[in-house]
Amino acid sequence: MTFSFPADCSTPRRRIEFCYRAERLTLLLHNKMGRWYRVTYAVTKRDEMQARVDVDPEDEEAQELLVEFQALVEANPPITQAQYDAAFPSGIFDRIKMRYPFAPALTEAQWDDFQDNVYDKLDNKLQEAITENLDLMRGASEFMPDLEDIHGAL
Amino acid sequence: MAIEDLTTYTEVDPSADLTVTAPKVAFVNFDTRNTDTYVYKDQGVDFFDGDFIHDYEFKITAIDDSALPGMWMLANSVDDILGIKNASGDCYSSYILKPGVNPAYIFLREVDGGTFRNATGGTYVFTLNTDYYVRLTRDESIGSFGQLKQQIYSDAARTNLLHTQTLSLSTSKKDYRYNYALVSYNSSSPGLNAWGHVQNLDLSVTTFQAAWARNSNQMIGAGL
Repeated sequence: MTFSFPADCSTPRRRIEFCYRAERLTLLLHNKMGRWYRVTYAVTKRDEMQARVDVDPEDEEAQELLVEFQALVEANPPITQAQYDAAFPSGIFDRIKMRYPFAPALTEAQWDDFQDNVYDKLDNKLQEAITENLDLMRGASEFMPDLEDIHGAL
Repeated sequence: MAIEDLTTYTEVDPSADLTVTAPKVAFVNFDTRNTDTYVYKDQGVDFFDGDFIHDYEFKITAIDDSALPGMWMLANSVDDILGIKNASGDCYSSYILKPGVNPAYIFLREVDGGTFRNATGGTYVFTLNTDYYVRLTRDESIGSFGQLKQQIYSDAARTNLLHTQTLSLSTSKKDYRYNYALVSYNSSSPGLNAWGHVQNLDLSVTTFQAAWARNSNQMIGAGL
């Protein structure tokens, strides 16, 4: 995966600023996808707990968790096409929409794929670019004033 | 996913600040900077090698100015964080600091041969009396010596990410022997206390890709 900066991001400081903004965007994307996956997570966990209670109705921990996960199911209903379209407007999210077309819930495999092959890779590239540009910034003249340059003020 | 049974860990708690149960270390008046206090396990030499994902949860209910409770930590000796640094040792630590009157934050740091190295991404200021869910991921394929990432989430499913801190690991790829569920930072500064708990430490988290990579390596190792 290549990473390129816009033409006007020509200094290390601008590139770092760009990366921090891009990080905010990837975080937003992560949490949109996370909300979509929580539909599956909540139902799976609730069903696991229901199965435990079915096997052992005296299992108090399972009963407690069943109530908790049922609440999570209710708080995370399946998403609608309109919610999907609103969460992923065309333009910046086209590639995401192509990779993860509309469904009421994101599957666990899709969530793992998103984390491993999209989010982590983007985040790692941004971190790499931040580290590289921080190193460059430490050597940049704008952060290393020479006393000779400001002697005129004396 | 297997939550660590912390009653199988070794508890060193000279001031009796801790209560250890299977999933949790609860602390009350934890004198974070005046004693060698920790809950740890010897997993065997070089147990923590290669890539890994570890999860844990924490909640701080109260914390004094300048208190510094360490939580998740990997090391090759049994000591508090500052003790490891002063002995020119190595460790990774996920810890909390309340810098004076300012709000407390969580941070990630490496001690590399006695030198502190900080994560990028800044600190994360958290709210008291709130549960946080942390994931630590080491990926040795990134950079020269690998990368350690700390992600802080607001939910147990780890779907709502609040903050990420990234540490480019230094000097060498390191394997570790001991893991800690809680650890002090003993600078002989009494009365800097914290209250709260850490729980649900999971050293076996996997995602599909990580499982696939591990299975592939096992297959290659088995000559398949």
